[in-house]
This record gives sequence, structure tokens and C-alpha cells, in this order.
Amino acid sequence: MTAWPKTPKFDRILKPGLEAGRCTGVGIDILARKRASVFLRRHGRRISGRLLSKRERAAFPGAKLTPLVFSRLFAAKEAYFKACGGTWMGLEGFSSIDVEFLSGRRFCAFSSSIRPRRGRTAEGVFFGTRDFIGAEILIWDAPGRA
Amino acid sequence: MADEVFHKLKGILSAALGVEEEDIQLESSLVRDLGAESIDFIDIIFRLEKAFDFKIPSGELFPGHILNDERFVKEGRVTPEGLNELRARLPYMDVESFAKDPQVTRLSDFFTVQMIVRYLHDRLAKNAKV
Repeated sequence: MTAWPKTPKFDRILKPGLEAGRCTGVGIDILARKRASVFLRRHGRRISGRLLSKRERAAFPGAKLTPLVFSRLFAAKEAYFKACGGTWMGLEGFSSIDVEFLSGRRFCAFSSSIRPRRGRTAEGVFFGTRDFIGAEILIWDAPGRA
Repeated sequence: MADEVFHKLKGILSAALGVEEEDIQLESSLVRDLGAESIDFIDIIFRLEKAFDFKIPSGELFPGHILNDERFVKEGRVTPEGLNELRARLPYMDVESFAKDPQVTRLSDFFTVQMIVRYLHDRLAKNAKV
């Protein structure tokens, strides 16, 4: 049986008698912090309303959407999208992906609309330097019956 | 009117992408010629909304879900069904040229300045009627 990462989201998915699936996608993205800051300063209100999921908007209202938070959300969504084999996801793609920050530099992500429907839950990790924020992500098939 | 729109668009693209206005031509590809990345597409959409004072609905100018739908993309190529979807969803794009070699990775090459001008022209005409 494949060893699953121990995170709250995956712990909820894995139940006795279920078998882990296979990795269906890998994605990575980096974003310059300065670019993200300028973008956030210029389009702050639009970003929240058009690019974030409902849960993200509730989690990061107003000033809580800092350049670091925005950079991480953006990089995670882009990485998720690349893991799905995509290139440009459109505004609707950004808002359909829900990124949840976990402890440390880990995160998980979920999309309710991007096809294929299977394997749409993903887990990743952030990395970066003073100038860049990056996110790498793995997408797994939903576990099936053993 | 098209010239006026093009002139205004050049200013927007120049500011968003950090390129000189004289380097922006109607046939310029946003990605291949002007170096746009995904955050730039969003920046351009938001700047257009501010400059022209209308909202660009999700999926209208640069729709994304077509490329990520297994019905429309097989083995890295857009299917005939996907091409029909592109024709319907992207009437401002030169879909017929793309259809000659419909590799997904080539699609963004066809997001051109001309495409945005056509879109803006159409939107402004519709708004004027209203």
C-alpha cells in the first residue's frame, strides 16, 4: 500500500479498507514577490473577488491578504493547474481552486470544476527565497476500495 | 474607433508587460512576442476593465477551462469537438489558423493584440447599443 502524507485533509479521506491511488500529476510554479506586491497593490479588491475561492475570501479578508499570502495562493493554484496538464486556466480556473494552508510550509488544494474529476485533491509544499515564492504539488487519484 | 481602441490598448499592454509601445503590433502574440505570463493575463483583464469601465466576465476574453477539459483535449491536442468549443467561446481568435496544428501548447500563441482589439470593439459596440 502506498504511504499517504499525514495531513488533516488526507486523514479525512483515508479510511480502513481503502487503498491509495496513483499520482496523476506534478506541478510547480514560482512568482516574484515584487511582481505579486505590485499586482496586489494595484488590483487588491478585484483579486479577492475574482481569483479567490469562497473559503479563501473568508480566510483572508481585506488586509489579511498580504503579499506573502497572495503569492502563496497564486503559486499554489498555478502549480495545481500545471499538475492537471493545463497552461492558462482563466479567471474561472483560479477561483475554482481552493487552497488550504497546513502547518509549516505545506498546503492542500482542491478543485470542484477542473476535469478530470478524479484525482483533484492535491498536496504540496511552498519554497522560496527573499525574491521568489514557489509551490510544488502532487495530485493523487481518489483512493478506491482495497 | 478601432485605431482609438488599439492606441489605448497599446498603453495598457505597455504598462502591464513592460514593453515599448512601438513593439506592440496588431499581430503580436501576447506570449510569444510580448512575453506575457498568466499573472499578466489577469493584470491585462483588470486594467482593461478599469480603462474601459466594464466588467469582463470570467471565460469571455481568455477562457481557460477548454484546455483542461478531457472532452476537448486528447494527448496534448485539441479535439474537433474542442475546436468547435473554441470557435463558440473565442470568436475573436483566429481559430482556423490554430486548427491546422491544434497542439494545446500552441494555443496561447494565438492570443494576439488583434484578438483583444476585436473583443473590445465588439463590447464597446454592444455597450453603445444599450
